[in-house]
Amino acid sequence: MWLHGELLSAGVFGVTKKLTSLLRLIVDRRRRNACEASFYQTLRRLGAIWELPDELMADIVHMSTLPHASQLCEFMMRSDEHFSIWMDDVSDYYYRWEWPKAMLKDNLLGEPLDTRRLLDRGARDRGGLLESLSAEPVVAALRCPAMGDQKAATLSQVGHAAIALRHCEQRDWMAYGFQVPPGSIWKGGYIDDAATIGALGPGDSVEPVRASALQTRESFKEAGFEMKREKSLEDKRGAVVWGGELSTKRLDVGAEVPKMMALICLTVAVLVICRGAGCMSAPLEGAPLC
Amino acid sequence: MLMDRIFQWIQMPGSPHKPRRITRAVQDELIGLCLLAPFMRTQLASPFHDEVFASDATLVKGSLVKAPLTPEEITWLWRRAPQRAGAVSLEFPGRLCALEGQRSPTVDFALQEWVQRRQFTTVCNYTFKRIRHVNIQESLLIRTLGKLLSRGKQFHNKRVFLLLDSQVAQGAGLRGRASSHLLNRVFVSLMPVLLACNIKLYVFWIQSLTNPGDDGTRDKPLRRALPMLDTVVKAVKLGAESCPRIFSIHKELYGGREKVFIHYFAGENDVLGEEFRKFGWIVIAYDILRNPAHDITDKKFLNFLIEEIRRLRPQASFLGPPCSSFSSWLYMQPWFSRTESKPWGDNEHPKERQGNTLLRATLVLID
Repeated sequence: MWLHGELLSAGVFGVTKKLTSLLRLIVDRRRRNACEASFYQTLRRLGAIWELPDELMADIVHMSTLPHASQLCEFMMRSDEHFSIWMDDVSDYYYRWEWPKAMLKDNLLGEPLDTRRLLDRGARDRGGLLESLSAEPVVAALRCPAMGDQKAATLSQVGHAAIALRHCEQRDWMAYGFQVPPGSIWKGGYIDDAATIGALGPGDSVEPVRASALQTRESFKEAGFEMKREKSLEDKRGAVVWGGELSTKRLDVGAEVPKMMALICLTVAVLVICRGAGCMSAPLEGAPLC
Repeated sequence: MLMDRIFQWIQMPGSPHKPRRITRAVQDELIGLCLLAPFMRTQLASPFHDEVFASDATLVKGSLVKAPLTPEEITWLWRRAPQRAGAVSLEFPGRLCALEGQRSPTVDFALQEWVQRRQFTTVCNYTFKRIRHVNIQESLLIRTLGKLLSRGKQFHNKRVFLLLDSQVAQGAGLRGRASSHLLNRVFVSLMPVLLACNIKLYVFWIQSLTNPGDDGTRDKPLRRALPMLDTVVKAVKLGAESCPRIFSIHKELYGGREKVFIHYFAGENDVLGEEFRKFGWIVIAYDILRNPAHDITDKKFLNFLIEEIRRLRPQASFLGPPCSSFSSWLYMQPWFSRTESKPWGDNEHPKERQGNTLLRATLVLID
């Protein structure tokens, strides 16, 4: 796609991943995103054209919507019950998906490059394609979704739901804006983070929650995904689920306590400086206060 | 609710990279946030209260009414309640209409049918001191309800259903803040009460014509409930069956409760209590004639009765204190000192003094 005579390709940059030395790929696709219809706009349009039934539309929206930690506030517990929290993180989740070939032109990266220069610099030429195009410039394109692509999160969430819902009922699946699950087991996925939360009484067996969590794990493995062992949680009484801290000890949910305390300290420090100096700098990033 | 001035400060025109002075009001709000942050957690072991409240306000009058709820109705209401942060979710309007039981961006007709067929009783009707915008008056009523709930221990650590006909007040209640500074001021004063008592409000919107609170604001007698329909009963039952966990939690709490009737000043024979017993009620009768320890003028015994009310939560009570010293025929007695303007009399004659003490104790029990 061209805009004002300029090819609308994206830029790329990396940020370090938590707990690893790897870089997370981010695509700066803002201009292209602004020119594209969102998943929901497209869905509404297609739904109207094809006269899709409301139930089907609602199911698709339910599967594509991310859950939210505020939904955990709706969990209702008896005073003698405890949580059994199971979490899994899928490794390189985005990069296991692949766009159809027809969509490659929507994921262009960087400026057009001279083919000869690429070959000179050691680019791999599968099937001699670059050699055959030696006279024409080429543009790199991503074959998989990446962070920064506005439709990537929605579509990969649909993928997560489709895999996880093989072994669980749709009513137990959490999606923001929809009714929370009515039973004792709540399941949800946040793009690549899968969570199964169960409420168990003193004599209750953990087996149903365990079976549900392991079935999701197996489904991902069957589909060719790998799980991050270091991030998986099994039968925990308390954990941070999508930013909300569930605690059996206090039987409550709220913001993560250490993070909240750090934020309180930062705010108080800023206010102390502010009282002294009478002003503050608006951008707080990198301030040596925390 | 706390972040009112902060948002105003952020929205002030100017470069975000240029240093700006933080106003005193913003500093105060930040300090308030830091102080209250540890309390901003949701207790998950708090069930629903077994009553639903409805409120309505006009420019001059406010009214609060309530109706009892069964465990089935609690579950059914929970299933269709607008959820936390629900009103923020305006990105995909209409997406929830298709699934049964989802909150609807239009009118929840099933809820309205149910409301019309439920008998409400008045909690309070009052006239506002100042005439303000109706949305502020509606929010003030939510604050009144919060204060009333905070006074009763039975409401603490509970989730409470509230029906009202102002979408502005509902939105502010659900989101935790409003774009209006005046509304935020009302909710800010409500927030500490709700946080301290751990009361969570679930705010529903219903149309004005079906709101039972509407009568009190228009000086009309509270409307009688329409006859219950089988379809409504069936819908409530189905809703309860679809959420077995919520239903079982509330059935354990409220479902197995026996019907309790407390008869004060029952006399020696307790004729009324006997009739209640015939219908399977548990009757507790008190009278000084039956037991000399049942002296309601004794503070210790009065406190014991108040504790009993809180513990047993009786569905019915009857209080008939001796009223002979209040009879207008006593004007012929030389010691009679009660008048229309001075109904308590001069409190000198023992009969009048005893009548006053018993009436005061009765009013304490009613309160």
